[in-house]
Amino acid sequence: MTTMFWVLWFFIAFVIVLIAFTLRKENDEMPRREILRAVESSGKMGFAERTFLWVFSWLDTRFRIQDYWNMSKGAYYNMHRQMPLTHAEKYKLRIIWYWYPLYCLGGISFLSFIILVITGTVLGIYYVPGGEGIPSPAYLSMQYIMTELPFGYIIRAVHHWGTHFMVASVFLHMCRVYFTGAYRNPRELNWLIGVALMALTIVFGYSGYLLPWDSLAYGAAVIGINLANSSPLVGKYVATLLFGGSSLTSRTVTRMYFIHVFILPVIVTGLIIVHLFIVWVQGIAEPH
Amino acid sequence: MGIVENLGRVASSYMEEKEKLQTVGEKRKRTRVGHGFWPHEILRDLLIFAFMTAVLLYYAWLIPPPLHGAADPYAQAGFVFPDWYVLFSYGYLRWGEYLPQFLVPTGFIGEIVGQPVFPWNAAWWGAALTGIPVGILVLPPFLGGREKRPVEDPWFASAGAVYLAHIWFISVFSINIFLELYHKNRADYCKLDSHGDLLCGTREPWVAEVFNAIPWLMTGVLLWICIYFIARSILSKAWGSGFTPRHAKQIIVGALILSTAASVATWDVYDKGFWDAKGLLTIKDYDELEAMRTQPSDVHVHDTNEFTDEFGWSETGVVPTTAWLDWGIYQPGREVIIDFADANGHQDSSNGINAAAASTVLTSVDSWQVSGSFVVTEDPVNFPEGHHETISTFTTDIACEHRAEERKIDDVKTDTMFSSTMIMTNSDGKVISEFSDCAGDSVELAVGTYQYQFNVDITGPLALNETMTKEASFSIASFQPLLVWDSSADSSIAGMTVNLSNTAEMALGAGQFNIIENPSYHKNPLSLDAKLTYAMFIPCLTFGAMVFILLRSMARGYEFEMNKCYGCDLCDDACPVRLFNGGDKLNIIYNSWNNEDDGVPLYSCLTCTACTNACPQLVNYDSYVDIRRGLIVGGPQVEIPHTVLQAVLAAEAEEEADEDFISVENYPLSSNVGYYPGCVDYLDQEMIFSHVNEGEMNLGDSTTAAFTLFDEMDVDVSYLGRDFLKCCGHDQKWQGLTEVFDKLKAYNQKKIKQSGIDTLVSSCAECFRTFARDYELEDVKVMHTTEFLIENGFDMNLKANEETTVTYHDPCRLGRQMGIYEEPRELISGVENVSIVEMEHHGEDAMCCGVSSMMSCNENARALRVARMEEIRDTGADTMLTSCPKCVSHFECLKFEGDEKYADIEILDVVSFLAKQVNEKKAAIGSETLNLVDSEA
Repeated sequence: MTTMFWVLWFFIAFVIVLIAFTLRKENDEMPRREILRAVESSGKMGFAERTFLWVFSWLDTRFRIQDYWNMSKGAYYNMHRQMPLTHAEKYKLRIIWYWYPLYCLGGISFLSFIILVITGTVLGIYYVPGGEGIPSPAYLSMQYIMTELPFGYIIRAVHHWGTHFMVASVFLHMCRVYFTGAYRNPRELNWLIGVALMALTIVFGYSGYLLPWDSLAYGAAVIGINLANSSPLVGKYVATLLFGGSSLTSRTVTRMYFIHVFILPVIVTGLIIVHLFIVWVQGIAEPH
Repeated sequence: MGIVENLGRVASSYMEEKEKLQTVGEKRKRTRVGHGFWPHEILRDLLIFAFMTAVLLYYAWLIPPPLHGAADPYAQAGFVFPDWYVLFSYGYLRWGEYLPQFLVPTGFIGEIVGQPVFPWNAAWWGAALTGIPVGILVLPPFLGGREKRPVEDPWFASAGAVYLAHIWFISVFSINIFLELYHKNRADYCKLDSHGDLLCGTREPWVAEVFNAIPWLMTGVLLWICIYFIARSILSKAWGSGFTPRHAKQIIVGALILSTAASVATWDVYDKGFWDAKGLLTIKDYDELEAMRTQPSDVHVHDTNEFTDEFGWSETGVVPTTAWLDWGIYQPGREVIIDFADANGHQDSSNGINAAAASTVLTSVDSWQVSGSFVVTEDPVNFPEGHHETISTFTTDIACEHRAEERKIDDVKTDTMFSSTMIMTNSDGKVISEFSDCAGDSVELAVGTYQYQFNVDITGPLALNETMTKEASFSIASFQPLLVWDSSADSSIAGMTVNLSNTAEMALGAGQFNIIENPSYHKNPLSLDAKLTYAMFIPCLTFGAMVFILLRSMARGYEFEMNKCYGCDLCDDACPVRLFNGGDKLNIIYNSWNNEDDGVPLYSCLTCTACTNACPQLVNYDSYVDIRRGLIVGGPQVEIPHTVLQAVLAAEAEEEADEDFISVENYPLSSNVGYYPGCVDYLDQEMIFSHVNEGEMNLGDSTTAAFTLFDEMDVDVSYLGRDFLKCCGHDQKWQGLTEVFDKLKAYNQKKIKQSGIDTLVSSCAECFRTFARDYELEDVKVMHTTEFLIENGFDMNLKANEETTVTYHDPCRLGRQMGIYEEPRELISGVENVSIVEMEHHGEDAMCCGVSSMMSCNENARALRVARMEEIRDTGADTMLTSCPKCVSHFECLKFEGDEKYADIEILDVVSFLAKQVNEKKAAIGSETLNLVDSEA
């Protein structure tokens, strides 16, 4: 075993040396110290500036970040110029409180999502996605989290209630967008992404509901797999895809776990980023 | 070139084109006037987020997350309560069970995937229906037409409200079903088990009762709304303007009474689960339920309930029938419980009362005839005839039987060797029931005497066999309502069934028995599912209708406008009508907002904007008057003096009149500046007509004058005459003739756009305002002539022949409504020798000429004009200039009406005045030139 570790460390060292040799040439060519001296003499530099400059130049001599720097600077100014004004800025308002709670719902769902990611990560460390036997390892690990794990109970409680907060705020957010007509041109695409996010949120909730693998989860799984099986033509394939078989087995909970902690988070995080980016670019719609 | 390069080329050429169109100035710069994103919005969001996090933690601390028993596939299916956000799907699944289920052949695709027939079952109904509310969310951005806020387009918001109500109802009512299914301790589901033991428990929670009532309550509200709107539309059509808000209020009350009465009367229909509508598909065994004859009886109990002690024992070990009746669902088709088991002993076949029976044993005889009669009675005390629909007739079973000792003789069934007929007739000899071979029958009989005849004949080998025993019998039983000792009978028998043949018991009870109404009469055992089905549709519409009405009432713009009113009374002081219309202060805007008499009666308002001008909140009262007049059916409810003129203008609006106007192709258009004269020529004619040619007014001159000025300035302007464009529709709009106005507007807009005009000039303040404010002429710049002249640098070095003092009257439409005060004054003061003096009311405070939109020509208007004339007198000016032909004509009218007092005041349009100066100047130059020529000669 220890031999394996040594081999690994040697390999890592080899890679480092290889990279260092690759980059060494650049280091020789760049008159880094002269540039540094020139910059330092151009103005008063504090410790923070000095440190930043050193790191920046160190990186630049190795990765030629000057290109990316120029590019990102251009993008930054471009974006800064085109970025929409906030409502208060646009209408020169000096009061921004009164109509806001309804416009915070999207933010609250995002906040809930972050809380869910954090608590979910902690729960994921202790949860065992196994459905074999009665009671199953999944159920036993839930009992462990609830009764023995320090703070396990409250973390699960926050995760549980965070779900309800997220679904509720997503619903209300959607209502707000509908009733203020904010889905109209030019925001059609963002509305569609929002609808997809809402559906995925519900799937998130459902898959999480099954994970404790208690009697309630089992009952819900029965209903779910019946629905999946009932789809025309593709029924049993859908059931196999989502539930790991056309009837409930010990694989079901493992499958749901994978969907809940890997597939959905990846898709939903991606969509949330796109969703927020579009809001940032287009600005918040106002009722006319 | 590859596809990627191609696409890149397309994108960059798009960008190039865009860059060309965009000027640098259009790129937005950030300004920091209002509260910025940092730090204000960030701070606010942080506070809200912190609050939400605190609430979340509080909930987490307060309510523990559930963890039930471990999943066990072999255990009985347990109580599944989905999270609230998927309850709607559960509701669809539930509903799906009652929807038609069928098998769909899937063709060759089905062969490939191994499902040749697809069962469209409850689960797929549930899944497919769940897809609808989710899938429908994709649509809103693509439905279009929604360019306004919800208040202005209530249809969209109402659709959303119906959607939300639907989801709410289906979610809540699927919970209701859970209560029904899993609250095992529910009294409604008391049942006898196979040992005759009773299983029941506590009562339904009252919250469920409240939720139960909501759909029917909402139905009542929908009914109320429908009755109100239908009655209102019928009456307002029938009565026209005779229909007042007071009538509307009466209809509201009347409709409320009607709908309440209807809802209360039909409550049972709903509460019992729509029995007659087969429970909205939920009752599949309707016929079986209707024929049910199970009857409650006193039973021994093995469970605790309100009649037992805590150990499940009652004093007698029996729960009486009445208690049973409060719970059970029996004989669902009967209003009164019928004694099908004859527990009371109503039937006495030996005396032929409510029953008849006979039997015989035949050995050597081949036939048996028996006939007789029986009486269907009724208890004269407890159920007099006709008291209840269900006991005016009595269910009567007729049965008979015949059989032989051996089942078969020589492999032939002995059954086939019997033949029998049973005939029952009433006292008139009419056949009530007739059947042969003991088919049996069940009939409903009224009170009376009935004859029966039963014949049995034996044939074949059985008749020849004289040693074999053969039996025949018949029975007739007529069932009476069940009698139960009531509470005033002796306590030992109260609630129990009556035994009529037990004389001791009868003596003890002293006749204190009664029939029992069936508490579950026509109750659908699946009534909660029926209610779910119902609640998914009708009550949602109510919610949508309520939202619609709310938004519509808000959308009547003036309410939004007018609720800004402080009630300060300034509008009253400014109002020219109130000036000459005595009485207490009314506070125009405040009272209008309260829907009390609008301070100034609807048609005397001059829409002069004086009130808005005075209003600290800038409440737009004109738009209120405009909207309200538009709501009046049948045009203005006031006398309009110039009827012929109005009729002529209104006739123009019709499509048939289109041909009288010259098309764009045939009309000479030399410039992209158009001049619209307005109705000046018509006004001249009307003036001459209605004032018997007394007038000297020549409004038509203003057109000539305008072109004199244009020519002088060398500006090319096309004349858009009244043979080209229709009337602008100003008067029709303000008279509330919205339809006429819309037609005129549509025609003119189309034509102006076709003509390619980019600047539309008019000397008439009304036309100017109407084109600028009420038309949608996006690409056309609408200008008043005075404005146009100033903008084109009108400077003619004009000089009046003699010193003149003039004053200027600001027309409401030009001044307060369009904000043009300075341009006419600038033009006037540009003329040398002309000095301009202001009247007491001028500029923003200028007084109205007294008449607008051809209405309100009355004593008040006259008084107003007289007051205005006095103001002119006070200034010492001999000429009053204005820039609206309507104002000119109204002031001229005062003169024609014989008030010689003001005949010397000259009233002129500014444009005419300027043209006059131009013409004088020309004449002077002409004569000078003439002089010059003369002198040369």
